[in-house]
Amino acid sequence: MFALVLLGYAFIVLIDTVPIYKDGTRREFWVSAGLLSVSLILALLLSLGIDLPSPADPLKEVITKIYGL
Amino acid sequence: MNQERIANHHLFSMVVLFVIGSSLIVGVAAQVEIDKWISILIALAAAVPTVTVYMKLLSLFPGKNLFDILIIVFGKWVGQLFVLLYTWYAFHLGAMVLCNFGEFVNMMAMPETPKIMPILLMGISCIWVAKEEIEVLGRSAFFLLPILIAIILIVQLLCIPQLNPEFLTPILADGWKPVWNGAFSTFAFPFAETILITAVLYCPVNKKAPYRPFLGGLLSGAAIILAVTLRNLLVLGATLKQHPYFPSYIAVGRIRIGDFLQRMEITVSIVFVVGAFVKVSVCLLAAAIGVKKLAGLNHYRPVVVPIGILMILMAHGIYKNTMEMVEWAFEIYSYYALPFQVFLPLLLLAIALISRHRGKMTNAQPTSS
Repeated sequence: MFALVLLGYAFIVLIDTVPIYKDGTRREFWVSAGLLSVSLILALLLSLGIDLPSPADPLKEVITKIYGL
Repeated sequence: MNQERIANHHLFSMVVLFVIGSSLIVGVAAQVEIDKWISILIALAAAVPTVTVYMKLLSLFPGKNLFDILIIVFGKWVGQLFVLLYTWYAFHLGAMVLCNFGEFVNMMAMPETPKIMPILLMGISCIWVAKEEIEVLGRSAFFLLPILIAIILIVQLLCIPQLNPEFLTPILADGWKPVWNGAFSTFAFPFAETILITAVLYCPVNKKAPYRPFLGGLLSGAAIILAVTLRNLLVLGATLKQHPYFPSYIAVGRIRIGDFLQRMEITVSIVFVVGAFVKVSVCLLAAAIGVKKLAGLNHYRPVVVPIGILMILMAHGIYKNTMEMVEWAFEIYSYYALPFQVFLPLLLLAIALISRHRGKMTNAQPTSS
């Protein structure tokens, strides 16, 4: 699974990130690469069976407190 | 760069499919048992002026979408903060709809398939269409809408033998409180979610705001939701509360015409696939345009793929189970979305009108995509 995720991301970098780099638009490249890196880390953690924290519970706490539900 | 344009009939189709999105399958107004149809009508009555506010905002700022308007009205720093909030809202909503889809497939169709698979496949389709920009999405919606309408119509007709008009009575047996709760929930999900369409749309300069296609889309989508909800009520009746998850699937499963016409649940799946596809694509587009605004990019296309992947990952892990998903959708979401759907747009409009009255607003150049 880990290898599959790496393979998938290599494919995405090839078809998406490399053309952005070749376009010469530096800002777009770094923002795209940064977001892709974050998603790669999360995907690798998920593939290793690590549960990622969900925003649903903290949001529910905040909303319950604000509205007094 | 060219500004993206969407024809009125494409916009109409997109709004209809966005409104019916996941609502036809997940259901609406879960707080109400028999009087859901009253809740839908009340929610629609509240949604029409709300959507008019959204369109008024677009008409006050020709050539600008919601994110541009936020920065013009609130200034750079506060505006960017609100852009961040709306970007998060779009991203979160897209993940929630993707999760709805994944749960539906996992629960009803393919229980042994990992939930990530339908989410991934749907996500890839949405990423692709978002990269092709809103014109392609509009054309896709225009192509898919008649097919969807035909399917819904045929299923409605086939359900006629299973209808029981007495299931609609007694009207208001539980009083008005659940009806108002249901109306509030239906207003927030899905009617007022159309605020996100203003993030991907703008009013062309020297033209009127697209009131007609937008309002027409909302009313048509609401009519479809009302028809399907009534069908579910008339088929399932009081047993509806025993089927809190995906009631349409259960209702359509009861169609039996002779020995050959049965197990029509595939029609429900098709409706969900198309609706979820358009809704998630709009959310992804809105999130990408928001990130473009925040990061000061020239175009949003470079960030569509990473944001789409993040949306897929979040959809996979956002809820522990279907019960939590339904609880969030009907108990918490309405309050969570209220600032995005009502408070902020009203505040925006108030400030914009006051500033315009004082003559401080200037027409800025149209944004380039």
